Amino acid sequence: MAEVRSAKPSVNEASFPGQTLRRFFRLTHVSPLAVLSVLLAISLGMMSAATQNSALFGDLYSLLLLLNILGVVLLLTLIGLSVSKLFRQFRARVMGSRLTLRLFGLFVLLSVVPVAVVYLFSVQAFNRGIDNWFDVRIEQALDSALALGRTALDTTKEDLTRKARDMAAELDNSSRRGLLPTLNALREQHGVFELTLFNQDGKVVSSSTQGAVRGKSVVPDRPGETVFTQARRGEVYAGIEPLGESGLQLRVLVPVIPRAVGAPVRVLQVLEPLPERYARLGQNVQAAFAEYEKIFYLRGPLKFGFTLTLSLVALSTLLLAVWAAIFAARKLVTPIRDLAEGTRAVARGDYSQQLPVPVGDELGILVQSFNVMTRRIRRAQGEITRGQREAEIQRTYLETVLTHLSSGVLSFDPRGHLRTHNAAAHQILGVDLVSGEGKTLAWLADAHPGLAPFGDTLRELLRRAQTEWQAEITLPGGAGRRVLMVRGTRLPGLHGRTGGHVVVFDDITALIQAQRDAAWGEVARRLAHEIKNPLTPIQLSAERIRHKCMDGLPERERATLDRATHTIVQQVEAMKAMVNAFSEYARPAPLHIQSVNLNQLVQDVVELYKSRANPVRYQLHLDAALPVLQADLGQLRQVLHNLLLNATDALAATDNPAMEITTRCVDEPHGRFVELYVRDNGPGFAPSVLDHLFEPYVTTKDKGTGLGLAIVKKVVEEHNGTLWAGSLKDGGATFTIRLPVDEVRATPAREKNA
Amino acid sequence: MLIRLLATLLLTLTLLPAPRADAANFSVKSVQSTLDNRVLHVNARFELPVNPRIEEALSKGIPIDVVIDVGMAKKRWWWWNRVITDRILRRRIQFHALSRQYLVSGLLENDASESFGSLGQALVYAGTLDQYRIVITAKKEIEADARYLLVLRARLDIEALPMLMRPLAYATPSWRRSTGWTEWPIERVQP
Repeated sequence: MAEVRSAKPSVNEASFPGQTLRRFFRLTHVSPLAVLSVLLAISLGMMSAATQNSALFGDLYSLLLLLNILGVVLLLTLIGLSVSKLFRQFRARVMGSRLTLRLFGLFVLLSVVPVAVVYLFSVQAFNRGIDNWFDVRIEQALDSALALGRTALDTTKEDLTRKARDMAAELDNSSRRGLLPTLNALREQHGVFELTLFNQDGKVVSSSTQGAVRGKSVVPDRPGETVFTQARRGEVYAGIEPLGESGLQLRVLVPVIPRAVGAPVRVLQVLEPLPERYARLGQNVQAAFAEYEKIFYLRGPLKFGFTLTLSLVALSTLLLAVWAAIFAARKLVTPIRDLAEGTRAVARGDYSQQLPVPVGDELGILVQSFNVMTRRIRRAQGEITRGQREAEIQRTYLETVLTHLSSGVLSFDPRGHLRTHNAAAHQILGVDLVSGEGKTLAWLADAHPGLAPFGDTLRELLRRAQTEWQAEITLPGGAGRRVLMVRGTRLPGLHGRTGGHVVVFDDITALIQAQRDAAWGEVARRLAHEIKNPLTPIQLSAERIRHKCMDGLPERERATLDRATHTIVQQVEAMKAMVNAFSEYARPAPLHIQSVNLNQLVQDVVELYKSRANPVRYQLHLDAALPVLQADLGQLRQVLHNLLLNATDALAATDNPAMEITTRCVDEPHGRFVELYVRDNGPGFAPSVLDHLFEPYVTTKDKGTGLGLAIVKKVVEEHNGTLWAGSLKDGGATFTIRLPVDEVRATPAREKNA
Repeated sequence: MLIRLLATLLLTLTLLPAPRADAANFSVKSVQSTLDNRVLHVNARFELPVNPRIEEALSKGIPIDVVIDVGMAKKRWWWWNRVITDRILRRRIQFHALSRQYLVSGLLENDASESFGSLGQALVYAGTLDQYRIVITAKKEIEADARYLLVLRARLDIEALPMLMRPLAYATPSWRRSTGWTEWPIERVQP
């Protein structure tokens, strides 16, 4: 019945026992259930002992009863709270509550039924047993013994009464003699223990006692008030009284009625103790009878008491069993509930679940396995996350490399859809590739017709699916032809499949141009060198011929010689100049950088041309907010002269010739530029010329060195600028020059203004 | 809801022992008391009627204890009365089957008992305080102008019953006999 468990604190979470009590139980690791059980067991044991033997705990019986009832009420309360909590959880569909309730029901059924059966049989058995204790024959025997005793006593009593009457009569007769001697004599005569004469008021008139004769002074025994009153009225009283522990005495009161009329009535009391043996027997019968009567009478309360004790024991046992059932059910279900919740958490993706392991049984093994499983999953999850992070870092790294690569990179999946691209690709192609992600190359050709050759060539190359390939693609465009060097590689695919392609391309226009320029420079320098060497001897020889032969020749020949040598010298001179110009062009000239106001320069140069008899009309659109350039003023002036000369020559055959010169500031993503735009309304350029316009000795004019535009280009490129030429549809040529602005220098200019 | 149920149950338990209207409960018939210096004299007579249930128990040899509580208290208007002194007098009534006498013990010295032919006489005897003297030994002075009260109660002592009868006696109103506490004026003998 008493369950001592050093288990976890009580499962009951109601605030009934109070916080302090709960903390005490938690600290001492004692279950209130165990404490209550022990207390109840002790108290029930004491009560049971009291029921069986009233000497033991008899005085505490009521207290014990109260305590037990209180204990049962407390248990009922606790159980009620626990069960109601259980039902609340069940209704709230808390995980595990259904199983707990079912187990609880099963335990209760298993404990209640046997206890109830045992209880009912016990109650019935001992009720019948108690009834069987009492035998009718014993009762009759005791009754008879009592009656016998009474009869015997009555006889003695009657005898004594008779004696008392006689004595009273005698006393009355001898009233004149001394009372005490008379009483003594009467006592001696009748052989009684004590004789006392009372007057009407109940005062002792005289008394004679057996002991007094022997010199002992004994106070006479007084009768009770009612008895005395009865005797005074003239009635005889005879009674047996218990005397001390085991003695019995006979008391007889008789009135002493006087002869004389009006004299007061006195009362004579005769006391006679029964013989000791007699008295003892009588008392034995009395005691036995009284005990039997008492027990017989207490039969009902005894049954009640036993039933009560048994009921309390049974109820306590039941309640403790019920409570233990709740406890056990919870204890059993806790790991299962934990497991269920843990599984749910794992299903949600929370792998940090570690469940408390119950000791020792299969559930413990299960929970342990669960813990191991979640630990492993967690570790695996961690590794995956780490791997993902590493891959992410790798990807970012690659992307950064790609972004800062000067080459454009495009990658395509096996079906030819664009997957990745870098900023350089966007810059080189001049196309927003983000909108083309996931699309095929056909999109590129459709959306940007200028890039059609690039798209088409690439598509064709991808279709061929070679492992590695290389191609050069020429793109026409407003800014001039551009040449792209494209290299492609097939990507390795998973499971032996084709894994798409990566395409890397560079804008090699400038490179080609530079190569070409370098080649031209070399040619020019060699030519100049080769040509320059024989020129001086030729010139000297011609002058020598003229000098030597001039005088010896007749007039006519002399004139011819003179003219011929003059021509030779002149032409050689011209040739020298040309060769010098060549070497000038080919030799890199040092730049003298200074601040240049382009607008001012344009105005200065145009002014020179206006002043001559020049039919060309000049229109200037100068941007007032043009930043100051850092450039070589002399070379820029050369550029402007060359452009204007070129245009003036081109406009020679044009009616109403006009020129438009525009300056403006252009903000581009990769920098700020000053743009010079020159336009005329001349015949423009033939397409065949346009490609080689800036190469030396490309000229449409009859005169000129053919180096004008080549020098323009050289100067612009030395200033890190770009230039391109174009033809307008309605005739006329355009030149565009862009020169970068040094931002650092431009900023203080504003500060100066401020 | 459960708490409410429990409260109701407890309330019922508390109210259950309240004695029902019983025609024949113990009562105080007459009281006379005087305070002479530091000696309290009490004469009192209690009516101790018994019902058939108690009578039957007596006749079956169960002793019945009547306890008389006598005390003196000082009246205090601002607080409960202060008990100066109190005595508990226990009188046991028992039936002697052989002699058919009712014995009353507890009044006489050396545990002797007085016997009576009828229960009525025994009860009258048990319910009588005849010239009962209490010498007040309390250290505090008996104040001349203070009001003193005699407090009296006579009751049947259930705890003195045989153990097995107690639960039933507590549960049965017919066993719960008491006059309850009664207060009586005390006559002061002026020195």
